[in-house]
Amino acid sequence: MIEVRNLSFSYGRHRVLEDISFTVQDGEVLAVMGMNGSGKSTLISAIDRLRRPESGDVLIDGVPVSGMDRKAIAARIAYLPQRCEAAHLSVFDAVLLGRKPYMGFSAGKEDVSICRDMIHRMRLDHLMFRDLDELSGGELQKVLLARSLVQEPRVMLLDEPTSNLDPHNQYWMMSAVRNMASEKGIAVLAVFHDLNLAMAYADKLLFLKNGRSCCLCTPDKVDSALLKEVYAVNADIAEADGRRFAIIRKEFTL
Amino acid sequence: MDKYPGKTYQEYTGHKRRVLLAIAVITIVLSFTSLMAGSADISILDAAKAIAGTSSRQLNAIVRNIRLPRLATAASVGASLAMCGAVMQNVLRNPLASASTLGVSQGASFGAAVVIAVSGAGSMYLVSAAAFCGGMITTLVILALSKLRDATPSAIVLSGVAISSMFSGATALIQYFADDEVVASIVYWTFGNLGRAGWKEIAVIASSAMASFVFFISRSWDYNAIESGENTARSLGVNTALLIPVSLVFCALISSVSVAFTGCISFIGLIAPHIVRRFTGNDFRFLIPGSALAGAGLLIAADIASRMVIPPVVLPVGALTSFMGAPLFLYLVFRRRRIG
Repeated sequence: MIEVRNLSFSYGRHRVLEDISFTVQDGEVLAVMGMNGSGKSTLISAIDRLRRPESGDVLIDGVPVSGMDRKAIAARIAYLPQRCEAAHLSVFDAVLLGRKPYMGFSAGKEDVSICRDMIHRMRLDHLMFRDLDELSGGELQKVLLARSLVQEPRVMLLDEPTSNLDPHNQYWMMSAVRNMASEKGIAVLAVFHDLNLAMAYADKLLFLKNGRSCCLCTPDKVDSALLKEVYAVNADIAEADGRRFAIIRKEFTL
Repeated sequence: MDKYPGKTYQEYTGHKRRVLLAIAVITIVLSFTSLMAGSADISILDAAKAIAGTSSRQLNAIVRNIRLPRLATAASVGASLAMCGAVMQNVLRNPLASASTLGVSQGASFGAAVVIAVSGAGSMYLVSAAAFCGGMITTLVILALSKLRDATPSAIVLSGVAISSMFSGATALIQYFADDEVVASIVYWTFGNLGRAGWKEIAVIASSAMASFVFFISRSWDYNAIESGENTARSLGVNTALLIPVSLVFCALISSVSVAFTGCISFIGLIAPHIVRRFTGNDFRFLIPGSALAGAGLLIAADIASRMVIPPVVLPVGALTSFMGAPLFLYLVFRRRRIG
């Protein structure tokens, strides 16, 4: 379980996050939503302490992250960045890096075996000795997800995990995240731009506006008024296949 | 029995081990060639006997007092510069980083020139200490610049170019005002000379190279993580705020010690890691030992060439490595542009 308490962050004098609080239970998926520049990515990196928050704290299973060193944080939080440099490193070695928090000087037999199982599960067997810089966007994202999972985290932070993926890979990716979260009891925070994908896979949605928490609700509470407030668009909510969809009206003119 | 079909991870890393072995064998062959090559023709058997001290007095003297120290200097300096290049390219996130392209060697040369101009070339240790300080100061400047918020990898290399030319200019000014004898020693010093170091100096170079090697290899997984970007490395538990400066200090140590005792030897640090990377990828468990072996082999080869091109004249090895290195440097620059 992750608990974010009154988190605030500024770049110099510019306040980017203001007093954000929420809780995500084990196995639950929280979608972090909002317009460009609303502070979503900053929130994710402040939770992982890649940026030091100005005030507030993050607790994982009741233990504050502020008192942990990088290795201890890495054993609890896995972070999948929005952009990852595709290194000249093989897929297997890239997945093995997820075992870094548990390694001494080198990777042991157990680390190799855990990674081999995850590579198989993510259907990456045929690519495992290929270099990352030869992979497609979807394949690279799968490798990064595999690496996050072998980290055996309590919390996963995903920054726009589906932004470069085709529809097949978007739904594959989110199903994998969803299944792994429930199977291993991982609390997931994922930044999304795609409202419908978020409503399909998240248990709760956190809407940010200008660095403030605008609304924290379940997918069935998302309505036209909320979308108007957060995104400044006119949208209708429709239902099909037992799911809710946001349909945004075409009304922009130049 | 493995539960999955196909190649296992052990087999995959076994291939990289064989690459290291092949580089080691080439370097050993070059080492023996280096002992045999020169104005006195020595057979491989005589060379081996002379190392053991059982050959004729003259051959013993040539091999043990001249060729063996030269070989040991080339091997340890080549290995030092190459490891330094591999690590600098990683922590500064720039494939063109090395002691000579970032101005660390030029800073060390400037330090040496100042001391030679002030006190003459009499005290080798004083000159070396000054070279070490020059190299270290340049590294600190590069480190500070890399911490600026908008310091892109190409900005760092451009800063290196600026720093090198600043130090070269300062060294030229010292030469302009110095008398002929001082100018001669500075110029001779900046050429790069593998025959200058005795066993004591070799021990200093080799022990700093060994210490750095142990540090670098123990952090090889951290460098692998940095390959995917600094933030990714931090999220995987790497304390980059400590690792990057400490790595650069080790780089400054080994490159400055090398420059201090042998003068400026360019391009080995840039080329060796790139050659090895083609075979091992950016896996630092293999890239660091591979670069060290390849750097040693390249400098030994350059030294053999420097003695064989116009015998009995021994050409300055630093001039030769620059001459060989520049075309490869250009190749790297343009190949990257095509990919990008």
